[in-house]
Amino acid sequence: MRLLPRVHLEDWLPRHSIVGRIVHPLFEERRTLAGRMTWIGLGLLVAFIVVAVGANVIAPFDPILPADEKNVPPWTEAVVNRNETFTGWTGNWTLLSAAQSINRVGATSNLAGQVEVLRSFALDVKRDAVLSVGLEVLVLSNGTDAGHYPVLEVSRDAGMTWLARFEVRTTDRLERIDLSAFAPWHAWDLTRESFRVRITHASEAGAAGNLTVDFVGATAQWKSFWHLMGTDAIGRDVFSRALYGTRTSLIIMIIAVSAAFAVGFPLGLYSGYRGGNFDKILVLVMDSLYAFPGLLFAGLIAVLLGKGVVNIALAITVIYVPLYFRVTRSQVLSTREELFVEAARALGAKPRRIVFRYIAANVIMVIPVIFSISAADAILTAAGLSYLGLGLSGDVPDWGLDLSAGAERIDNGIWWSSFFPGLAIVFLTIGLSFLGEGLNDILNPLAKKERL
Amino acid sequence: MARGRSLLAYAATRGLLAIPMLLILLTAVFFILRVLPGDPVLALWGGREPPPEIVEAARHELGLDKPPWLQYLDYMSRVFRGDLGRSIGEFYRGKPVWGEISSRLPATVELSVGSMLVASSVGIVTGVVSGARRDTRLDVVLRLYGTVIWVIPIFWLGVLFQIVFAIWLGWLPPHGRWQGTDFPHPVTGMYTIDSLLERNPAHFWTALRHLVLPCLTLGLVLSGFFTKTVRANMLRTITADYAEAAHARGVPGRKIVTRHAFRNALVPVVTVLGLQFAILFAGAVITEKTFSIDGIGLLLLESVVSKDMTMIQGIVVVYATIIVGVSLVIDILGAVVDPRIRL
Repeated sequence: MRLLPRVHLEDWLPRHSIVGRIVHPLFEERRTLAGRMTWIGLGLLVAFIVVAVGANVIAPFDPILPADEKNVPPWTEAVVNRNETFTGWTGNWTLLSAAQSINRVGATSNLAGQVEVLRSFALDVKRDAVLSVGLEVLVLSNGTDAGHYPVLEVSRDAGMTWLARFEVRTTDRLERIDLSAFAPWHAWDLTRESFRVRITHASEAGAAGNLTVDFVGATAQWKSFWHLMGTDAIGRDVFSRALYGTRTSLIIMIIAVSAAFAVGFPLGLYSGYRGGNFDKILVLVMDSLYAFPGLLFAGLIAVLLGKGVVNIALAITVIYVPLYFRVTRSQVLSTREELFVEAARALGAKPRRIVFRYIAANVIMVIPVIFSISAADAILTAAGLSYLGLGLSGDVPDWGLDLSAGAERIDNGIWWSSFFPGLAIVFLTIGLSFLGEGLNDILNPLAKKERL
Repeated sequence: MARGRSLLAYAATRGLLAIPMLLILLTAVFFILRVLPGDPVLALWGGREPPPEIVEAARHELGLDKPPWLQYLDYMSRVFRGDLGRSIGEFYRGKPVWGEISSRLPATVELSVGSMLVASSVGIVTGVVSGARRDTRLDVVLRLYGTVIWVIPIFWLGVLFQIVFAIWLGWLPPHGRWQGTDFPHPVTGMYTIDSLLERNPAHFWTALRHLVLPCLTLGLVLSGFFTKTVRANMLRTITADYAEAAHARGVPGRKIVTRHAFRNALVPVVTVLGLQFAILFAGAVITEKTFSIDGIGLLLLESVVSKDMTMIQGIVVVYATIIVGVSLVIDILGAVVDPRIRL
């Protein structure tokens, strides 16, 4: 039982239309190596386009703002340890500014009952998965009279309520106070605004006397988010940046390749059909440009045009104009001698009609192949420019840029922030070159003959 | 063209054709650099506003006060006299451009030659095997190797090698050309050759160890091209009439591959080698950056950053001359090997 009538491709797409000449062999030869490569390449390309369009939906984190701890390894929830001292205080202890240093005399009070509130602990807890919270206190015997000791209290609501009382009776030893047991801690309890520590000068030996606290620090331990590809040196999610980078790469690729086609194809058509001195000079110029390293040429022009996605794309265009020109021209030269062109000419067709109706329609068959090959190369070039520091810069999510930023840190064993952006480049370029190579084998009758 | 055209005549016409090519490249670079944003004179002053008379003097000294066409003629004539001028960038200010380039050239040459050796040996072996065993599983694997390795970014492969072989396994040094301060006596500037001239195996070993990863990186990427070209040529020669004739005479298959197909397959490879040099140079710049090898590529990057016009021009002139020269030599070589090219 067939619910839908069998659809014949032939009915929808005539075999000898321009699109049909590509699509029909694609379906007929799908089981050969070339056909498989083409379909794999097409699949990869479509997947990348989907990713580029849907990057907002797929990406779990923001590509530009730091989302988590720095350098979280991929595929893990890293345990982040933080130990921070305060940067703000209110009260009447003296010499407080030095209290953050562990080896100099810190905050001193000379009267029992004096209160100091320490605030702005830069713990910066990125995720609400706090494992433990604690305090570290060091009281110096040098500067502290017998019987005088500090009392520590913490607040989670900017000093509205104070939890727990800890008396620190030891001196010259870093005292660690574990606060985890008191209450469940959340990320919002530990922000600069809400977390406070109050030290009160307490005494059993009369009001007058010195108390010196050398160091007060808050410690926190929490689990980072789970990152598929880890995070980079600023704490941005590598996976999200790779997703958004697809967009940058595809935009550069499409602009560069289409602009090269728009310039190279008509020039090649005209030059190849007309011939003469115009053709000779153009060939010489194009060959000279083609001979020079494309990456360096594009780099010079990129410096000239300035940074920005469109400018980089246009700089890359320059490399591929000669390629499109050469391919189109050589194709025109062979098509020009074909019998049907001769016939059209004999029937009195105008040169314009011959070029566009008869020659261009045949020449354009080679373009899909060149298109995908030059697109793969354009992506490599754009990434190379970014890597060399001649291409995009700043916050733009770009594979080449991320790779070059990460490459400096592989000596520390941080391999993921350069490995994954490169992997994305590899998959896209492999897809495009499979597409190009497969199409070339399928569409190019000469290559087909050779295969048999 | 006449049929009995001599090799000398071919070489001469090919050589004449190289001159306009060089001219076009130099002209293009001259104009690109003239419209480059950022006044080189102001750049010398680090962005501060220098007194106008000093600006005038500096412009006069650099020849920037002359009309553009005169500057162009001046530049061209100096280039053809072999004078590349003096650097105007912040890193090498006042130093002769050619001196800087020639001190950096050996590192680049060492890297390029090494990579070419890797590329051609790997590429020819894979190409010949793939062509000789066509349509087997091995052929498919090698074809995929050729396609895939060719589109792998050089810097990514380099970083991968650094991570695996230098950092995880610790077999090879990740950066640079040399370790320590005990350099070999400079004769050519290429550490491998200098240490061989010194007959110092320890030095040679150090130089070689530093070369392995960069050359492997660049060489493997370039080998993809050889694999594809050699395979295509093998397919053409292995089915050619003379190969079939040999087969008919009872020559064993292995001998047909090595004697008949292989040799003839290499001829077209020589001719496409010329195009490879442009790609090799671009690849060398990236490889030098990845492995911190201070060759011309890094010099070029530094000069682009500091807008050192004369240095950029000098480097481009050197690149263009090498590329045009090499393609000239290779074309002539191709004509020697295969007389049909001369037609």
